[in-house]
Amino acid sequence: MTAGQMSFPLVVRSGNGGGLRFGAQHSQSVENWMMAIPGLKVVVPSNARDVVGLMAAAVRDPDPVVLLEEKALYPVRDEVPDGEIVDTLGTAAIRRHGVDATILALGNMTPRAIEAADQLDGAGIDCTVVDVRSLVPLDTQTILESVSDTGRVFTVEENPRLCGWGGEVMSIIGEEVFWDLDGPPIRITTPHIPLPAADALEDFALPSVERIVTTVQKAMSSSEGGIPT
Amino acid sequence: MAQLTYREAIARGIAQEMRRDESVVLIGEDVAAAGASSRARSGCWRSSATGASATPRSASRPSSAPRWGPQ
Repeated sequence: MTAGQMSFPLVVRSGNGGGLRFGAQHSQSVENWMMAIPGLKVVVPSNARDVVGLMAAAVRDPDPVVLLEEKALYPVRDEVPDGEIVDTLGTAAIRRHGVDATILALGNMTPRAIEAADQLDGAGIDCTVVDVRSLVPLDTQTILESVSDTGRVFTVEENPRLCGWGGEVMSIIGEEVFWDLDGPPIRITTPHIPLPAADALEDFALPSVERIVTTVQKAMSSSEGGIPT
Repeated sequence: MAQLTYREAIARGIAQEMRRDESVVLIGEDVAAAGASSRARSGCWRSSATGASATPRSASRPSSAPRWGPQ
């Protein structure tokens, strides 16, 4: 915008996401809104260690970075190494290695994807789980390499389905590694609705471990590779 | 190795950067002495009292004094 004459080293922190019975007004997952703005970088940490590392990377970056804090993860405890932690923006993290399918997850959906992958392993489906971590810049190398290796890909997205981040990622996968795919790319998302406040309805709307497991199982067992109707 | 919550890690990350570089400041709603609804900045106010500033909610009256700069 200024040909490098100016930098704007700003980090915008914001709470993000649902699952806490706060209703539609206070439960939005806005990662897809943020990534739609050219010039903004967008990171969403999924655990305490990454919060420190991605915060440091965001603060040190010369450009505006939106760091979305997953509200549902605030009380979750993890091991964090001592000393300085600095990550690199635009790097995904492989949380689990598997050979049958790749599950791409972000933020609060990452622990759910890992738990689902553990359950799927018991059912004979061995999944890689990629924690996308950074939507802009996007670590397409890690994502595409994993999808090429496994031949199947699923996204787990808390944002509403319409224009969710997985739509963009799947279009990149379609353009770049279409011929490595063994079946349709499948997105597991919240529907395009204002999130309900009622416990049962909110749990039903957000991607759950159970929904991830059943969706992957059905897709992997169907002869056409899609979700049987 | 420390056992930290996601919330505590946010404070640690911000504090790490404020200690490293004194030009790093924290400005926002409920980030300073009053505490936050998320309580995610706990300790930053104490660790670097000149670096955190609370801004008013956009809907609040002007008399709910915004506190800019060192207290």
